[in-house]
Amino acid sequence: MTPPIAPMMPDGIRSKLVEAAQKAARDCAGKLYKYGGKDTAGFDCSGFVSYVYRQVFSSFTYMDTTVLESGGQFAETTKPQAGDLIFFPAGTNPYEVARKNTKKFDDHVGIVIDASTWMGSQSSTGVAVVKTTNLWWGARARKFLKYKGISE
Amino acid sequence: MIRYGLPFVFVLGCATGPLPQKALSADQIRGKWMVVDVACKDCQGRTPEEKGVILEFDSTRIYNPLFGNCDARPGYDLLAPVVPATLLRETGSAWPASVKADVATAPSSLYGFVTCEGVNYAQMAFTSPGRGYYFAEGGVVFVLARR
Repeated sequence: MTPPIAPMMPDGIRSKLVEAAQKAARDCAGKLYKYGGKDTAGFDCSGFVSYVYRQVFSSFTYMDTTVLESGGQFAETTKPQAGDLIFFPAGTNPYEVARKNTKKFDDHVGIVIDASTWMGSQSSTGVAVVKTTNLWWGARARKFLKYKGISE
Repeated sequence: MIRYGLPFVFVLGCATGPLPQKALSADQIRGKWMVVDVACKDCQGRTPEEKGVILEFDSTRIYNPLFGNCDARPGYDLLAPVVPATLLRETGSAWPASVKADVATAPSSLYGFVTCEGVNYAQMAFTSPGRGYYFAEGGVVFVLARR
């Protein structure tokens, strides 16, 4: 069962991550998703996450989705908070499967903003907020990752 | 004088050609739109269960039962007229064939991003006052008709 995002009032580092994500999103409004993109001229999903984290952690270097998930700098958490990552493993989407579409989708990663939203660079929207009421994303399997550089 | 005036007027009429169709403006997309079909490039056989869903684009909010509402500050100023050749070359090369065909025959399309609180919300294109396209995840495109 996918753990719910707990209600939260982020402070300190976590609020900085959220603010950095929101600023990056505003800075690239109107820009399409860009495969390999790592700046406000256009991001892909891991480029956006890495960019945001680098705004808060100056030594943070770019990581693709494989490294973000299993490179050792993030650990899975069952109690996600603002600033944590939401990670969607590659695979089919039950929303699409119910509509006879068994296409496999790439893995995807975004940043938790609050209990009802996360933010990422998606192929259809570029950087955008995604609500938990989104039927398409809400159907995909997901897990949450916490950066080991956040000490709590 | 008249003998020479008429041919002159005739030549002018041919040279200018028909008047161009007025480009769509962002004001024209506000209101209700219904999903009338679902197009996708590489998911043939996908059932269009979203048909009949109503999306509403308002000055103060967007109602979207599929992907979540925009509850504050929807923005339409990142939509702009784009001629077919440019749109299909720079953005739409991977769109479903039916969408590309409609875009190709429209004098211009209103294309870009609808925003919510200053952030991208939806990528959309409108080829006429009554026809729109909502580009969703997974290569799926919702075909919209003005309600």
